[in-house]
Amino acid sequence: MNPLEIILEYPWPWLSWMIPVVGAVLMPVLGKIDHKLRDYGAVFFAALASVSAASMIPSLLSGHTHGDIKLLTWFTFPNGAPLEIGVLVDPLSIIICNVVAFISFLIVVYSVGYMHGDPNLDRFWFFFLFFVGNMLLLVLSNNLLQTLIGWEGVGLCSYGLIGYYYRDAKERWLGGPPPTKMFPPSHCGMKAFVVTGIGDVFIIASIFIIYYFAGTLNYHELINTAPEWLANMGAVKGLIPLTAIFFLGGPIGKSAQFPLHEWLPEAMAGPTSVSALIHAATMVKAGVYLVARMSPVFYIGTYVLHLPAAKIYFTAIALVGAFTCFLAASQALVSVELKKILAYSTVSQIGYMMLGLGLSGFSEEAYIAGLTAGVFHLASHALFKGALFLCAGSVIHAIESIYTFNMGGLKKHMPKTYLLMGLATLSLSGIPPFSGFWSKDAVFLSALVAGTPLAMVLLAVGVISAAMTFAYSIRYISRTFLHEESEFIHELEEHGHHLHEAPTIMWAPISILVALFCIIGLLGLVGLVSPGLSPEIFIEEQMHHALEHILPHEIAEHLHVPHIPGSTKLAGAALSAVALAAGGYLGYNFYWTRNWDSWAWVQASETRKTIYNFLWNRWYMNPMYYLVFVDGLINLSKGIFSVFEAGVMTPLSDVVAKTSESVSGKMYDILEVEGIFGVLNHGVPWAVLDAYNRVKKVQTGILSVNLLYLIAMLLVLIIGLLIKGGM
Amino acid sequence: MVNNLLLLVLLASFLCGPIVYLIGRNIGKRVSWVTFAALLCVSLVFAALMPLAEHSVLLEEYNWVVYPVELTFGLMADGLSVPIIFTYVFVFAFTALFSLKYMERRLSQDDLEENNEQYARFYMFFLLYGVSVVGSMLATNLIQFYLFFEMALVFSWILVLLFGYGDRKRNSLLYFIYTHIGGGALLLGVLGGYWAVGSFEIADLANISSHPNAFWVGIAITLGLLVKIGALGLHGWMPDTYSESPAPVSAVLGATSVLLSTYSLSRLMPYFTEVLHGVSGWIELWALMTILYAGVMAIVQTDTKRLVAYLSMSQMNYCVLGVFTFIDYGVLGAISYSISHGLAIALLFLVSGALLYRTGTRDMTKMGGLAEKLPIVILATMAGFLTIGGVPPAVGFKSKFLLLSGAFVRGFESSWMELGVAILAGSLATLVTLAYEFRTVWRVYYGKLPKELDAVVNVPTMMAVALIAMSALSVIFGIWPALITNPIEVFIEHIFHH
Amino acid sequence: MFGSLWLAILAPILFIPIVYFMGRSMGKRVGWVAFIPLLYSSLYFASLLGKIAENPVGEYFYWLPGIRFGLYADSLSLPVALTIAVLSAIIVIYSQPYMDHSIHEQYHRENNNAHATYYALYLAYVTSMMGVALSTNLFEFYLFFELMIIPSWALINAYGSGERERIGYMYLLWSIVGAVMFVTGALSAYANTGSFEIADLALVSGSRWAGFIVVTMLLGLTVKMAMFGFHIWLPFAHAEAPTPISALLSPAMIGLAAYAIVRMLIPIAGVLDANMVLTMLWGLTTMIYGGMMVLAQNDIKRLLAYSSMSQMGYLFIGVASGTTIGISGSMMHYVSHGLGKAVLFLSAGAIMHQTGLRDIRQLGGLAAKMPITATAFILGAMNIAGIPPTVGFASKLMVFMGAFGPGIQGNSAELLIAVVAILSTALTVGYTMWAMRRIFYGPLPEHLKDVKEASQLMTIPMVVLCLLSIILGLYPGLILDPLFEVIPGLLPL
Repeated sequence: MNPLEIILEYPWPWLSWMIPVVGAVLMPVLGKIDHKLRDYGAVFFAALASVSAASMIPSLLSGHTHGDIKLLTWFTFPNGAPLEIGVLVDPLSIIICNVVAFISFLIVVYSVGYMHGDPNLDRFWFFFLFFVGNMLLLVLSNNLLQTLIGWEGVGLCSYGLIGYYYRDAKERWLGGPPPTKMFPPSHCGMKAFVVTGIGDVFIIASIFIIYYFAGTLNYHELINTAPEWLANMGAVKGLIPLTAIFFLGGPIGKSAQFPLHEWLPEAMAGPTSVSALIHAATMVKAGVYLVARMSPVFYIGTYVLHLPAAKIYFTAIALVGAFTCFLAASQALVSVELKKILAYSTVSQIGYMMLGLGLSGFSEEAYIAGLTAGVFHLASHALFKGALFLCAGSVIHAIESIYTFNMGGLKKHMPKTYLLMGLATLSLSGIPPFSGFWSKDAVFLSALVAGTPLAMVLLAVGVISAAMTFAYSIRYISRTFLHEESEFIHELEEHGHHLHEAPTIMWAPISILVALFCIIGLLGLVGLVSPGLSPEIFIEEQMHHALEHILPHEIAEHLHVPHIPGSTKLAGAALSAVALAAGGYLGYNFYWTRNWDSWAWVQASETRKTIYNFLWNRWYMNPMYYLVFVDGLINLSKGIFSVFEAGVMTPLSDVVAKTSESVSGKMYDILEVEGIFGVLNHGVPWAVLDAYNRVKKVQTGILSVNLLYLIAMLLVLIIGLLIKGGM
Repeated sequence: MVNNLLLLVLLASFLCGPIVYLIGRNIGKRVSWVTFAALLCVSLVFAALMPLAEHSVLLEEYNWVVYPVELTFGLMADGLSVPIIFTYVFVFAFTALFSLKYMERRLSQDDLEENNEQYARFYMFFLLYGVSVVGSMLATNLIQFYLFFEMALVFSWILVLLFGYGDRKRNSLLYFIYTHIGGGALLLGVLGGYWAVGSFEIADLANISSHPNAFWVGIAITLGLLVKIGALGLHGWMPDTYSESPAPVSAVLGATSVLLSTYSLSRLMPYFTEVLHGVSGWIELWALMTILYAGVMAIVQTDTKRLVAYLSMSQMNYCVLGVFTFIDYGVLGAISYSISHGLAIALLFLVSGALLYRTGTRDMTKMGGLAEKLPIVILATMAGFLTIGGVPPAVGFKSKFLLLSGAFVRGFESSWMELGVAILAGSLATLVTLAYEFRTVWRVYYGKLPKELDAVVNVPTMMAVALIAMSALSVIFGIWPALITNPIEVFIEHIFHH
Repeated sequence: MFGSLWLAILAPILFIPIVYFMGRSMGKRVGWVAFIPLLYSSLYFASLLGKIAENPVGEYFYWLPGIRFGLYADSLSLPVALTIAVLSAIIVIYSQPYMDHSIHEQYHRENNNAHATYYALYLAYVTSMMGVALSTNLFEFYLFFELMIIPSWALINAYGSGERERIGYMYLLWSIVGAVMFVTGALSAYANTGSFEIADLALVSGSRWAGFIVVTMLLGLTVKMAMFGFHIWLPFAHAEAPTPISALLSPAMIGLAAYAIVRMLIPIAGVLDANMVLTMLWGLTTMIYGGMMVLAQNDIKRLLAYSSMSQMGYLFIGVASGTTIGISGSMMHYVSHGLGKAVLFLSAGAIMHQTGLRDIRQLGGLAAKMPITATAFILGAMNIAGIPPTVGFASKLMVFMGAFGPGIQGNSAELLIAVVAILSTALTVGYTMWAMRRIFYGPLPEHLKDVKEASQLMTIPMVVLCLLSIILGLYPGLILDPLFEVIPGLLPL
């Protein structure tokens, strides 16, 4: 079959990533024609993408997904293995690409309002749609290399969009308030690109290693042949852990996990809708997806080949996830930039997802549960975090400041936004029955299922972070919407700037998102009585399907959906409750009612101050990174340059030239001028001349000298002949 | 085809000498046209012989002396002599053309008086010099060879004596003494050869190697020619003579040194292959030493002509190196390199003459930025330098590459010393050469133009023509080496594989 | 298509008289005349590209008895030659506005001769590079190799910036050092095999001189390639050469050395493959050192020059790995680096041409003023950093896949080198993006308020190059598949 027929046979996966890419390329063209056309064109393309993504859902429900569809050979490796680009349509990719496509569509709609009147919208829309397209490509591709292409494309677009305001006008700067360092948008874009780039090189390295053993990069083949090649890899000591860690490097970078998490808080520099896109729909979710996608390989390694080394994949990501979760939550407690708080919270929430995926490898039973938890939390987080950012966008749009201390009392100015953001926040902090509760609960449950001691420790970390989550949620909500208005707002109103609610085109998409996660939450509630309707169970089954498709049958058989006893579920719920209670109590007193003055409380003791500064400076990680990897590297290079390059290598040529010249100069004087040859050249002729002149005073002496000489020669000649002839 | 063509050509061109003199007395400097015409005709004759030489040998013999010893006066033009003679005469012809303006300037300087007599003498001796060298290159027996050789020395000496710069007496005497030491050695060799094989016929040397003294004969001849080519230690005359003669004379002197010596070496040495094989390595080493030594000397020269003098001394010895590898490619390279070198060195002496003519100085430190002013001169310079440095597209590249490949083969066949020589000659020597060549280009033609040279204008037409003609020939040979190498190939075939 | 390899590579040099004499009257517009032969060569090579894997083209003749000169286009040499032809054809157009400007600055008047000479030298330079890529004979190769030095020296010496004479001289000397080292090895090879044919070089493998031969030739080539230790001429030459020439020097010429290593030294068994750790380490050093030096630069062209040095490290590592993928990757990277770095130099030239500045500290915020240049620059940067959809992605991927080849079988040293090498590619992303930001982003300085986009003769070439790199990036098989077929034949058994 030629490629076209293949595409036409089942167009949806192809369309869903091609449409945005094509749309992106068309944007500048449409922009030349008419701005409205371009903006609504963007909406149109995004809509088409999400429609074609949605058209795959029926196959999902029917339980018969199309699996691996190969399109054409991109090139053939020397070992004869063709690299066939194509799509992998299985429940995992379908679910995630629907989340991506739909939320992106809503954000596009929002952006039409939010970005209205910006002069450079061609560029904006191009990167925006290209972003979505690459993300969908990444999710739908059937091999690692193609995923990598989407992966890099996503990075590129994030660079373009975070650094969107490349003119670095002062009001666009992030961080602060002074004396804290502030960063211009172009810097933030670069930071994001480079930091995620560091992650990328790791994953590329591990992909090479995998290729060398597996001889293919196609997911299906990788997983089906895993028993053989993974065994070979196990033969080389220490290679599996290396590969696993390197592989995780990529997701850790893209999903902003420790130690590569520092780019995300600065990724706020772009327009808010971009932040929403990065956090809710694209980019940071890519890592989670990839970890889930490759987990079967290492599952086989751990539980079929019984290679303990393979388990590192899960352990490492679980540890990273849990730690990041705590780290980011703690930083969110002290941040004063509304968007940055949400950014930290994203980092921390992704920590939960990673934790879930990590736990999936802790025991055979936990596998499905862990996957489910990760994917489920990914989906629900996408919904409420999208909503949160869009709301934040409306707020910032309204008061033109990024700092929460410039807000306050916005409840009466922007009631709709308040309502929507409030609901989203409840979901974020995991208040039942919102989706956030169920998904976070799923993570806790998977830990309980795994049941190992380490799992318990991680669970504890998760619970503590949950408490912090609730606390900082209350903090930013109250600082933004409750209590009296800040000085800043008064000034604004004095200058006749009337605070107004966001226009419909902006709050409508938000309300759709909110509605969605409310519904999921309610379904979860219903699920308690009729499990069939619970989204968690649904995803669980889908994951099961997905794995059955991918895994070799003999393995897939004894892969079972764990039956989680009610007691365990209760325990999980209890843990959430404890966390909420703790976080809620503190949050309520510190921020909601402000019975306790948080600032005074911090100032009260040195230790608290130290802790506060520690958190405020992001655990001193960001400064440290700059010190070592940026300034350190550059100064080192400059040092080497001035010392070695400019100091040694460059003069070298000159020195060689100079010395060789002076040496030869000396030789010339010694040998040619005064020395042996000098004597010959000058001495001999004069000697002869003088001698001759002494004999005979003739002026034309030289000529006769020559004649004499000639005669002599001839005589010699003739004599010689005579002698010879005479013999 | 006339069966005594060579004799006619030779006699005719000798006759041109007096004729030029007589005409010159009347028409003065314009006689250079006559000289040019005469020499050009000769060179054309040999150009015409070139295809002939590719397959056959032109041999004419006349009875000469009957007592006390049978001597035939023989003339032979074969694959070796024809290309060399052609190039040689070609150089002479265009040098004559060049000297039209140059000698006018030279004679107008106050240490000489300018009159038709002077022009007549100059061009007569100039022409006779060239013709006698041609004679020795055509000779089939050593006596004849030696006599022409000796005549050439005398005529060139007279040129230096009458028209040189600075202390003419001293320089000419220096030249005379040194070259005659060489001549003496050569004579001894000739006689020795006669003692050994009982004949002066070059061809008869074929069976000399059986003779016990063959070794010393070979050495004597070699030394005689090494003086001519200015091997280290025997080079004392070279810098002064070259730099203090008028540019046209230096040009032809340079061309003669390299072409005549290489011709003789490659004509005679093959007969001594066996006897000299032992020492040939050391002679190679000697040549390398000369190359490096003179190269180093050239680095520090600030006088254009001295620079060229050392340059030529250094590069000429590549030919010695090549001949004494006794490897076919080595000798082939040596011969064709001598041809390219002969062209280039003459060209470069003329260039320095042109610079002197326009800037009035030979001191490079007083020059700079002339590229704009003298486009043709810089082109000629580049052509000469590239040829000598063995850089494409000039002919030198091919010759040098062949020569070196011969040297390497020799090196890997014999001991470490030969290998070392080959490697150094290929690498270090080339590097040194190009280093000072391009430094000169930079000094003279680039950088900033001194105030006093603002008025410089392009060289007169005749000079330009001469320079262009010679550069063109070098490049043509470079792009299509077969023109000269095919005849030489025949010769090589003849001496190596039969 | 009508023509032959000889015609294709000699066409430029045959045009020299025409170009020169027309140039004396036409001035800068003669660039269009110079464009004709280059276009022809590009088209001819392109026409061969499709079926090259099945039937490689070879044309031979005897230059001297026993010495056969030939041109051989297979799927290894053709992409190289094609790259050179295409680059030079595109850059000759760019040269017109650029050289017009700089010649005015140099002579303060119309100077047709300068234009004529420039294009004449340019053509000679291109021919010699294509000759190097296609020659089948050491003698011939060395001929073109040395011929390459002269026009490039002349171009730097006569049209460069700064202390052009000194730097030209330096460039010349280093090139000759390389050339003589190379020729020493080449002649030794001849003395041992009795043949100048490049194809016969493999015969020396196993002989006691193999090591000597390979090392000398390798050193000679690596000087040209500006590997660490031999690199000092590169930043000067490439920074001070007239920008269009830098755009040829930097990717096209120095990369040729890597090609030569593949063509000549890889087939010789027992030397390179035996010392893989050393060679790979050398490549690694060059890569990282060059990258770090980039970080220390403020001059826009020196910055690019050092980045070329670091890219040569990539090529070298790929070659040194001695695996099919790695070597093919390097050759592919020759193409992509050629396209990418050329774009970078051209846009740098455009900036210098429009602003008259080359110190990055004085630049900034130009993206708004010069959008096309900015786009070209970032695409070039992506190409260097190996980011899809540019071809750099595929090539770099291959290079490193190759680099992992030897390491994977458990030889930890090679594995370590490969890992470090790939991790240090983050450096490339870093410095390209940093340069991008310092030049094009941030607030627009006061003195750049009235900067305009460069003329179309300058922007169109950049755009074309970018498009080429994207097209190849979308379909790398076009070059990779043929390479994969020919390279195994070169590897020693």
